[in-house]
Amino acid sequence: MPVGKPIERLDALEKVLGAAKFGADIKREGMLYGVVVRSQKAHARIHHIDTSQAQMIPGVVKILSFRDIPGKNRFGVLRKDQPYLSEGYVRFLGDPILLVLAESERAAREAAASIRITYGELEGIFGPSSSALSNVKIHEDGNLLCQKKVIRGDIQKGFSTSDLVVENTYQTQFLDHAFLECEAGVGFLDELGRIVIISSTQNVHYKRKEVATLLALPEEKIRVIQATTGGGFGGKLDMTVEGYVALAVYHTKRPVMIRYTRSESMLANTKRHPLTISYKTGATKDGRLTAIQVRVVGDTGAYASYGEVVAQRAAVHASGPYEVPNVYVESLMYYTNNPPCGAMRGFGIPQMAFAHESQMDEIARLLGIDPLQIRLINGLKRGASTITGQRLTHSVGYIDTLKAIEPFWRDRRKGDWEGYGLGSMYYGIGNTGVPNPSSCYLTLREDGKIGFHLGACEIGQGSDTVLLQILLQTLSVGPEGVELIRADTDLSKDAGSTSASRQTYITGKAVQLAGEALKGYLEEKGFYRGRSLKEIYLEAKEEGRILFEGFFDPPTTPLDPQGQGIPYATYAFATHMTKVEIEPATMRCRVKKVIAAHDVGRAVNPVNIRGQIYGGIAMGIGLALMEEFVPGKTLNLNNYYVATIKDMPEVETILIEDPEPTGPYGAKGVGEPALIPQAASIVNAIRDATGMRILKLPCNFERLWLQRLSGGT
Amino acid sequence: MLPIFKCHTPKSKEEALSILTEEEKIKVLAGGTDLLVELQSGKKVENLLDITQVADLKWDPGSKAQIISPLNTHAEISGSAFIRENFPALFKACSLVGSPQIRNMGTIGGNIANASPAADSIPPLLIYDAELTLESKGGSRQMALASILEGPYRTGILNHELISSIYLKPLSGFREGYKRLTIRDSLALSRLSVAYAIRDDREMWHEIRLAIGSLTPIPFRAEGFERAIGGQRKDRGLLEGALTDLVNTVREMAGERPTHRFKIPILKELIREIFGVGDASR
Repeated sequence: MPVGKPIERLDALEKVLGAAKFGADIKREGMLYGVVVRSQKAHARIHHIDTSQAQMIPGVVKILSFRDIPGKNRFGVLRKDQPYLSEGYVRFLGDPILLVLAESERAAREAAASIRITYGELEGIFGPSSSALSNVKIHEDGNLLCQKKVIRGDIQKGFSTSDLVVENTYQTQFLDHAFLECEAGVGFLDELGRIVIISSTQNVHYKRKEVATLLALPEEKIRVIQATTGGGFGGKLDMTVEGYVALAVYHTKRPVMIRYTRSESMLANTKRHPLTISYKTGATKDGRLTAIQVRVVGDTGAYASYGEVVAQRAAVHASGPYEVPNVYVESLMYYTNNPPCGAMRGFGIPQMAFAHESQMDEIARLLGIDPLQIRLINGLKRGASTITGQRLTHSVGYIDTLKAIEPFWRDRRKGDWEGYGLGSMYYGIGNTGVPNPSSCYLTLREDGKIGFHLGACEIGQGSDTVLLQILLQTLSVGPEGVELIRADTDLSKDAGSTSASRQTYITGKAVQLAGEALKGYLEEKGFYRGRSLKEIYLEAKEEGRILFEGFFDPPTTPLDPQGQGIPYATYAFATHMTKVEIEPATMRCRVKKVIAAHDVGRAVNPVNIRGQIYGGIAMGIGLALMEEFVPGKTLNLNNYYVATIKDMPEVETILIEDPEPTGPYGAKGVGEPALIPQAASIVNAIRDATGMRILKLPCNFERLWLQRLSGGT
Repeated sequence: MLPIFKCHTPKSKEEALSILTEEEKIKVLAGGTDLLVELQSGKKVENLLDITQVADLKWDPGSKAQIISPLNTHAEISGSAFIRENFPALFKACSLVGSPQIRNMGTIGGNIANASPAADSIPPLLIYDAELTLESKGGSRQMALASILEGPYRTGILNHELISSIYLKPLSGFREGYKRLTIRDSLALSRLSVAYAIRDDREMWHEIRLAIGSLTPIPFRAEGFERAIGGQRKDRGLLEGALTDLVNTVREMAGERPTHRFKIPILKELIREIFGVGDASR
């Protein structure tokens, strides 16, 4: 039975041996190199561009500006507000202006550096509160990108029946994804004269669409293929190099490579949204939540990207995995002249969990209730309703995650300067209240193999392996009988993006359905009684039935203006328990141990899930203790601290399988849930160790010391 | 992207010193862990003198007792039993530098010549009264490490000179150590570092050495502090007084800095911890 087995990852060996070809490893004969020239001002009009020196550098082929764009100079996943190349106006430090193409990377970089741009600086806006008040408009429609609400019950009544009200404001920081592989891709013309792009990406079909619009070409004239991708975490969902590569091929008819250096990546790439979360919670003295009032104000930077998604998700998940009868959540997102913020593992929920889990612990402390107990009292269970009024009828393993942690929690023994904390989360799998389908197809082939045509991007998280396991399970065949063809717009159907922890659940289901369609046919043709696939293929060809498709779109309903509805078909649940140790002289916090319990529906590949959880914990340590991107100051990894192996604690994982009936063999997702509760559990552990309630991330030694000096709590 | 430059790779010290005398604009590469980063980020250089192949600037740590070679890498220092036994503070500091890759490439001579305020090897070298031999084509001179550190990334080593050896005085009967403050445990710059050596018993601080890095423009020996408590009976009040003076010295050297708000209380806590009258109260 392939499902449930920790089979080896398909990509493990070639990556370990260094044989995998990532975006920057691809070579084509006669390849040009492209470099994007970026703004050195955060908010300015461009007065003059002098490329005369650059034009003289040997090897320079072309310097392209927005005038060279044949189609639309705008992209964006929801709102098309971001220009590929500036039209004389720049909105952030790093906004792209020109594209230099040259015979060598050196010539391209030298030429890019020699271009002189004079600016007329404009007043910049560097925070959502100044954005809200200022007369300066960053976009024509104003600075407020969106406002999302979730309203339920009667908030006044909720607080008036509370015995205790706790109110705090939490602040989070900009983060960079810091994926191992920087953005890279190549493009060229194929023998039919179509533009082919091979890039490091989390989605191919979306990128084909954007490139077609950019070049004013039909989608059939564009082919996008995913290169082996060294991490994404949401940062390779937006257009990165693809538009520039396509534009360069369009104008030169030659192969072109664009690969970002780390500093270019940090300048160009989207960031995690900093959120200011004002959180008021009411509870009765027996620990039952009566009301929450939450105001989330986010900074989406210069362009929309996934800002609306983050605002929406933050509102929908504002309570955490608890039943709350009276709710008023308002979530706003503002444009600023900071770098554009986009998708990053968890879409705002790691930030929200920091707030709601801190609130839970404060209420527990003030009421004298054990932190685990207060979560048991309020936790979502089967039959309960979320704050969007969605009644949960199946696969609600939250209480099980608490029960799994409980023995460790009861056994905890605290030494000096040590502390323990809990963090819980729930997370809607897939996009919020909108259709987000996935398709997949299988082919019978002359060589007697089954072609597995998968549109889902493997970005290092393990989807190739997991989805193959689902197929093998469905078809009852071995891996040798299947050939995987992945993430190629010519050879696969749109599976949606690798984001929102959706590939195992949604594409997994599409794979299962395609597998079942093929299995029915194979049964009919006697495959399971010993007929060969080669033989069956010949018959299938005659009948014109060599392609078998699976399609799944999870059942959701859109949210109404009060934020009520069924935004997700299923939710993942998790609880992390974390032990920290504080070095008293320096206030350096080290994470010593984490016990992570996750309801994954069904563990298709338990070892892979554990890998995801370890990675999520590492990222959570970064969010809580060390990572902080400061626009204009953080230029490379030398002053952007991500956790290394030395910062990793001992980790114990507990997998809970409360099956999701609509998922493939009961599976849900774990990619983002792995991260979401971690930072929250760390700050709660720091409270336990030091008595200090952390309201601002990251809490590095500097912040902890200053808080200690100012009197602690 | 590296700039284009001429690279010289001498095999002997004589050859290296001749090139240094002949070429005007030249940078020495002893490990490259700082220099390459600077070059990658746009620093221009016409000539590079790669001394990593110069055999007579490189020998095993401990093979010429008390003299280490400028080309000893951090990994060699922190892998040497001789260093561990005789210079434990240096041993510890070198074991914490960067990452295994950086420790394999970066050298002690390079760390000195680069003269970063945050160099991990410098505070321990200061407590051993490190003395450098600086050689040029015309001759050689002996200089105390403390006297050639002139400012951040600035030393008194002349353009045509190379560090040819580093002499250290071992401390016997001392307990020694190195502590540093970083945001994470590896691949991190020291935000504050302390190298110390103490010869004491239950009653007395007989003799102490203390050097501090990453706090002032150059790492320094806290001589006033050493004199104030060295040879004295252990006493909390005495220590606190010496700490106050030390903080004043730091402020004189560095001026007022926003980071002092947390660095100074941390320095005091670290020193209290080292000198055995720690205050771990919350």
